[in-house]
Amino acid sequence: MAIFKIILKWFHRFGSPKWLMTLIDNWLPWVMAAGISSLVISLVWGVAFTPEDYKQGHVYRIIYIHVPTAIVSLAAYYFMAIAAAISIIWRLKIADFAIRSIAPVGLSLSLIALITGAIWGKPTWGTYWVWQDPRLISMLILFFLYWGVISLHDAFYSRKSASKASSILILVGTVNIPIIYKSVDWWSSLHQTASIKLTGPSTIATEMLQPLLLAIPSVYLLFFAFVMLQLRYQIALNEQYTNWMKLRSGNNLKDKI
Amino acid sequence: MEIKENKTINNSIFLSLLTRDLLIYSRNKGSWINPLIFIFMAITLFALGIGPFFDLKINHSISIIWVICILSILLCLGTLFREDFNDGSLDQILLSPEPLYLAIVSKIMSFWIVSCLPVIICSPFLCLIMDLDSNIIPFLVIVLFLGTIILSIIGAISTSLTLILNNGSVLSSIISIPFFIPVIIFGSEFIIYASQGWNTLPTLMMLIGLAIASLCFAPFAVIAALKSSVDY
Repeated sequence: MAIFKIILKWFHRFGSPKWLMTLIDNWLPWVMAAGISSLVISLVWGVAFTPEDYKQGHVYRIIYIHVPTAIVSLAAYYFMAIAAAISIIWRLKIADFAIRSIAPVGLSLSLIALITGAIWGKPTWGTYWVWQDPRLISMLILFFLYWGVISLHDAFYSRKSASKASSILILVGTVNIPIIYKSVDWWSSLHQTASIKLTGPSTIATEMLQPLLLAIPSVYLLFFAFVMLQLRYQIALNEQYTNWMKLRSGNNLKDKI
Repeated sequence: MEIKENKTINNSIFLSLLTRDLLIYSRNKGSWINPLIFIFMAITLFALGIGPFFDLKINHSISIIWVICILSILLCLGTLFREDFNDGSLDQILLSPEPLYLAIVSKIMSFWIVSCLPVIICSPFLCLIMDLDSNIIPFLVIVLFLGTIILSIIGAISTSLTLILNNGSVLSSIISIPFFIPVIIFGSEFIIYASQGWNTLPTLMMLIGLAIASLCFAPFAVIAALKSSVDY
């Protein structure tokens, strides 16, 4: 019961934009610094200190950007879906801010994954883009879904109806993503199957895998850092007429002068 | 005796809404002729765009028919709840004690009867002008029948989400097209398999399953979206 009470208290605290703002102020520099430094380390490690692939040569090194961004852009949709469920059930303001903050970050991550995939595809498959591949198409559809969420959210004047409409859309999308993926999977596939498996041996060499395993959490950290940046903007935009926000911006102004 | 009366009232929400909507549509002839004319015009545009020496493969002409039907549904979907929302009868439907699920299904069904059924009835003619083989016709009719049902149910979600926006039609298409993709894939695959003489049963089962699943679950999303649109 004690644990339950702690969780409940934590949950109630999350409903307060002021508390979240101070949390972000404290955490953002650390998360950002950790994300950037670990990404730089993993990229330098991956580009300079790993062996060449016997088939693809140096081209495969784009994996250290492509795979983490693809994984995190998929995971971001599920974070957004959790936020949407919270927003629909408990009507928390913060959940709505989270939806609007996660969507653009997920959009840019899926765009990076698509572009790096196209760059990787040209030397290895011979084309930038194929229409027969399930993973390419489902990543493109994910991009469209993010775009739909952002444009639907921005189309409303009132914050309340924007949050309701976009959370319904996100939840419908959550139900549909597996169906879309399976339907595209029905087609013949050109994409290589997943090389890293939790169960069973990975088909990727250990020296190549180690930087990748560092790159994935660092992209996660960067994702959280950018979501925090977006959240700070959303809170500042929507709470600009509250007293604490005026005090805060007044203080900042004083600091600047 | 009283219980019996109650039962008849409960059963009649579906039928009464359906007859009302069909009556409204039947007094406005454009509502069912315009989608047909649009499809024929779009096919004409395609034929002119391809040029006088057009030599279409069977897959191309089927996918042209299929995609044009989807576009016509997307264009028509804007009218699904628009009139009811403007004159306030949508609020009355949502406030009534009758089961909302049946009301939504009846609205979608009247929409389907008006803007999709004429297209399905005319689809053999579409096959003829696209120079398709005549033994494809029954398969095209099956695909259009199942596909338009699924598309109008899924499209109802996005139209009800964008109901209070003034210029929501483009946005509603952007939202709903990702959800149309499974239907498009299975539909075109079904016809292509049929034209090659392969086994079409698994794809047909998938289409029927998608239709049943969307009929079961999508109306609840439509109800939630309509409620959020009405009390904004």
